[in-house]
Amino acid sequence: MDIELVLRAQRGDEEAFASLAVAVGARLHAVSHRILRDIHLAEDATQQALLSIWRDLPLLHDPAKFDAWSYRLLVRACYAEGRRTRAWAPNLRLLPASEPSTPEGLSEVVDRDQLERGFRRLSIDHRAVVVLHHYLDLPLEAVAETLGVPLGTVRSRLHYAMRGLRAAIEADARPAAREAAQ
Amino acid sequence: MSTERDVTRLVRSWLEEGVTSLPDRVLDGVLDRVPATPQRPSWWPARRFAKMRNVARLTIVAAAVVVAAVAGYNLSPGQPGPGGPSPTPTPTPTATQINFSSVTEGGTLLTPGTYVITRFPRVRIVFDVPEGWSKGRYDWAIFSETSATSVAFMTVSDLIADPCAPEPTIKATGVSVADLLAGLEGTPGILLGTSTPKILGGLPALRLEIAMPDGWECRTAEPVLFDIPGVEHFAAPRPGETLPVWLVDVDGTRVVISIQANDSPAAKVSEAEAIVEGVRFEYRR
Repeated sequence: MDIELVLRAQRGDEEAFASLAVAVGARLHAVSHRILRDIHLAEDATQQALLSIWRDLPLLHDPAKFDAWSYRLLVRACYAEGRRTRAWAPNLRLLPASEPSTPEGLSEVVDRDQLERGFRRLSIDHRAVVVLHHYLDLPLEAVAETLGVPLGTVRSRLHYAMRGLRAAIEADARPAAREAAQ
Repeated sequence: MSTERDVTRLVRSWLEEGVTSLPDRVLDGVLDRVPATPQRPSWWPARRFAKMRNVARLTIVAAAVVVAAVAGYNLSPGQPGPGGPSPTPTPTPTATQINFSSVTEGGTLLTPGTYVITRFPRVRIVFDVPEGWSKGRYDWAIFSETSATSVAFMTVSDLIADPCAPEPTIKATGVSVADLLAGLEGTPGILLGTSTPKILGGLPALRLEIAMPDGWECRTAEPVLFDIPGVEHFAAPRPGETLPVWLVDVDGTRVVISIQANDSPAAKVSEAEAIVEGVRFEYRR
C-alpha cells in the first residue's frame, strides 16, 4: 500500500482517498462477498467499509498497517450487514454457472453445494476467520490482529468452522453416495 | 471419510470462486458520499460514544448544552466572568492571531503564524505554527504534512475507568492536575513514565509519558483514556505505544496537550515539541 496515499487521505485529502478506494476496493469486495455469500449484501458491506475507512482514517495510528486495519473495518461492516438482514434474508444457494457433467465433476459440484450450505450455517465470526486465513492466506497471528481477538480465539474459531464444513460435506455426501450407487 | 487436508483443499478451491472486482457504481456511491462524511479526530473515536447507553449519552449532551450556555453567557460582552467582575481576558489577545476555527476546510495547509483555539469555554489556547503543518477537520489539532506527527490541544474533565473496556465508564477524577495524575496511576493498563516539571505559557506544567505495555490485552481497537467536556473521549496509547502529554492547570481548567508521533522522524517530533513548549493561554479571571 502507498503509505503517502494513506497519509494524505488521513489528513482529509479526498482525491488521495479516491485513489486509495480504487486500489483496495476490489480486494475488500472479494472478501466481503466470500464472507456474506450474497452479492448485494457484499456490495453494501464494501460500500460501508470504504466509508468507514474514510471516516476513521485519522484513528489509524500506523499507516503501514492499513491493509489489516481495512480488513477489520470490512469485517465489522459484514457483521452489520449480517445482523441487519438476518431476519429476512432468503437462504440463497449459489451454484457454479456451468456445472461439470463427469462423475468427478458432479462430486465437485456436490461438494461446493455442501460447502455453501455448511458455510452459511457458520456465524460471521467463524466465516471471517476462514476467509482471512484460507482465502487471503493470512497467518493466524495476522488474523488475530486483524480481528482484534486473541490468537487462541482465532484457532478455536477456525477449528470449529472447519469441523462444521467437514461435517456438512460428510453428512450430505452419504445420501448422495447411496443415490450414486443405485 | 474426508481427511482434514481434503477439506482444506476443497474450502480453498471453493473460496477462489466468486467476484474479484468492485462495480463502478459501488465505488461511485462511496466517493459521492465522502464530501458529506466528516473524518473522525485521531484521538476521539466517536464510535465509542455511539455505543454508549442512551441515558448516558443524553446526560452528556445535556451537560454539554448547559456548559456551553453558561460559558456563552459568561463570555458574552458586558457579562462578568465566573471568577470575578472583570471580563478582561488575560493576557489580551493580539490582532495577529488567527482563529483556528476560521480555517474551515479539512486538510488545509496552514499559513505559518499564530493561531488561537476558541472551542473551550474558559480557556483559549494560542500556539505558533511553522511551515508544513495542516489542520484536520477539527478545531483542536494540527497535522504534519510530511509525517504522521500531530499535536492535540484539549481540556479534560475525568478519566475513563478502564481504557480497554468495550463500553467506557467515567471515573470521577477531582479537579486538579495532581488528581488527574493520581487517577492515571490507578488506571489499569496505563504505565506512567518519568514526569518532568515544565513551564507552559508562564504556568507550571507537567510533561509525562503515558504508555500501555506491549502485550496488554485490550478488548477494543481504540482504547480511550480521558473524558473531554462535551461528548468526546481522548484515545489512550495502544499496547506497546507511548504518548507524551503535557498537563497544565489554567485557572481551574485542566488542559492536556499531546503529541502523536507514529514513528515520525526525530526532527519532526522536535518541531512538534517546540510548538507545545511555545503555547500560551488566555483565560478569564
